[in-house]
Amino acid sequence: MQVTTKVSERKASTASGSPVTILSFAGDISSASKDAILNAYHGLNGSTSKILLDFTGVDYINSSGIAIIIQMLLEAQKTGSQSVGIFGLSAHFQKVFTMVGINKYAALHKDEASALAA
Amino acid sequence: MDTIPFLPQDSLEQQVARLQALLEAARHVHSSIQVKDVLQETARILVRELELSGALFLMPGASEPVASYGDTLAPPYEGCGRFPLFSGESHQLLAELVVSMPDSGEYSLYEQDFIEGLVLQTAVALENATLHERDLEWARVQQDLDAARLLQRSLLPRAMPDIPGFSIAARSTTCYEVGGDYLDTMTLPDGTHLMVVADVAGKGLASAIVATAFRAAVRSQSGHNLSLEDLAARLSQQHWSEGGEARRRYMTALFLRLDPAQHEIEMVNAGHNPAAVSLPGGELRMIEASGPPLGMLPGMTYAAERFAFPPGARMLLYTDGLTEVFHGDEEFGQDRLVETFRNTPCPEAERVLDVLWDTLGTFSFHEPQTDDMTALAIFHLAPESLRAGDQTCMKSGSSVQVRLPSELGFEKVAMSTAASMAALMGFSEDRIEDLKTAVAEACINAIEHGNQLNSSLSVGVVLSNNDDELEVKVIDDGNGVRQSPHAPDIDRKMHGEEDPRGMGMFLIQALVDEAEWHQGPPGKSFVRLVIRLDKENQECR
Repeated sequence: MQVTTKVSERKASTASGSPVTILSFAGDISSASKDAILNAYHGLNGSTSKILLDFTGVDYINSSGIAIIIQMLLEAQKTGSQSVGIFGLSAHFQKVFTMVGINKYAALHKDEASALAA
Repeated sequence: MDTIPFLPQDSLEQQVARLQALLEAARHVHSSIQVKDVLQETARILVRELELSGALFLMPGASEPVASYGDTLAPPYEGCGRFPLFSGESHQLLAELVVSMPDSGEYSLYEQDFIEGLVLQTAVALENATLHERDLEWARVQQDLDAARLLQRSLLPRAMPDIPGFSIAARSTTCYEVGGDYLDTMTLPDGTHLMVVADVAGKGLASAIVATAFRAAVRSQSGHNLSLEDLAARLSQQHWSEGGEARRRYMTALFLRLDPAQHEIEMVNAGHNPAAVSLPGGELRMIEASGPPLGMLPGMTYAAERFAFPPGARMLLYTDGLTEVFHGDEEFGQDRLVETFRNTPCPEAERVLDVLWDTLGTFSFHEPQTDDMTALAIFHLAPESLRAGDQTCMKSGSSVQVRLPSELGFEKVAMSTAASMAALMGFSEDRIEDLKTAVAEACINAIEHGNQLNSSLSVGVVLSNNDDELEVKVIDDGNGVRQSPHAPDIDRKMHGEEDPRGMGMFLIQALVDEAEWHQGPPGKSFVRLVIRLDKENQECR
């Protein structure tokens, strides 16, 4: 009964012109999302240094889904060269992400424009 | 006799030159994505490369050539070579090449090879170009549909009539871009209100066109001071006179005239689902059809029903998209729809429509809707629900129980049930979001830990409303969940020192006013959550 997660990848650049890879999620972020999210992350070019996670198309996130995001952030941190930002969360999920402390490891932005401007 | 290509008497240079010519020709043919350009280019290359007098392309079903080069070849193309172009997968005939013969009366083997090679390449390019044209055509149709959808949405009433003592709300959702449901309200010169809900046979664009034409007809006839019976009869006859195509798109309709001063309603039902009138004191009255759908048969007449609509009465007009919602083979049905409408205690019509849509979504497990859905709810408010500042949408002590299969994903059913209940109690949207996450986490814990993912077990959810608090008990069939109330340590998690899971319990505690876990024998273990209304910020939408 769990809804699958769709992940699509696109390129953008920051206000200062450096390249950014945006992973856009759609559907639910739950325990069923593990392969979709981690495979998309592992499929990124090794030289990708700035990643943005776009939650605009996500309706439902639960703690198992948050755990997968944390696992991905952990892997990104281990590379020592990747920075990850997050945008498109509802006010409620911005609060939840802050409660569990994700904001210490990934900057939370309101939308894509402010994420790229940062 | 011409020289035969690729035989020893040909020099290697000659063979290479011919292959290069074919390669170059193929590159030219593939350089365009327009059907006509592809064929034109092929015809040009053939005539120039093989020094022939003319070439043209015929498309299936067209008598005139679609592209040609060189001398004009004339039907029936006697003495010309003809080469069919087939699509790669379906082997469907895409086009036919007609090309003149050399003076010798037959093609050399080299010429034959060149033509056949180029025809194969052209068929691929032609198929790509055809698909491209189809994509463009599809994009244009999609644009048209988007414009039609915007137009149709703009023709819905912008606001419901604001009548003191009444709460009126309407909603219309289509299953495709545009739909065949029609909803309208008009205030008449005598101070009464005319309201119409109609459903054109079928769905999609054709039905939407009929619905839009019907709207114009209703609006123009409504100015003629007709009785509802005459209005229905005239619209029916008018639609029937439009001819066979229109008659196949007949429509069922409800016409209603509300007289707020006299607390009275008059109605005509033309072949439509019965409208439900719930009167104070518990009486339920269904307004059944008094004639066939409009435009189906000539010379039809209809009868109006007139009835009192006192304070405390409520009425629902709906299209069959609300009853024909399925869960597997089971239909939601009229009885369930009417019962949900009557038993939702909130006096706000808009909120009750929210509850109907939520209930239907939950019933169908949020499958995409299969028909257009339109409803109009009219409430004549009872005096007690008019008193400002004393608006509770739900009586204290109400309780709702849901039993979920112990399978991940079903927590969403509990979430939407809790959200509907909290909305009825007047919780703010922020608090409802908090509650939804807490309830989902409690259900996930019950499924994963309490029931150990055993899909033969189930999870019970009991929601109770006590004065200004909503209590949610999530009961598992296993041995419960041990409370481990420590906040997740993101730093330890990030260094891989702590299981990144186990956040659910923390979130529950952070998001609700009270949370406690009880472990007991199977069926007796539960988590109890409480959220309280903040009186200052209470809202009852």
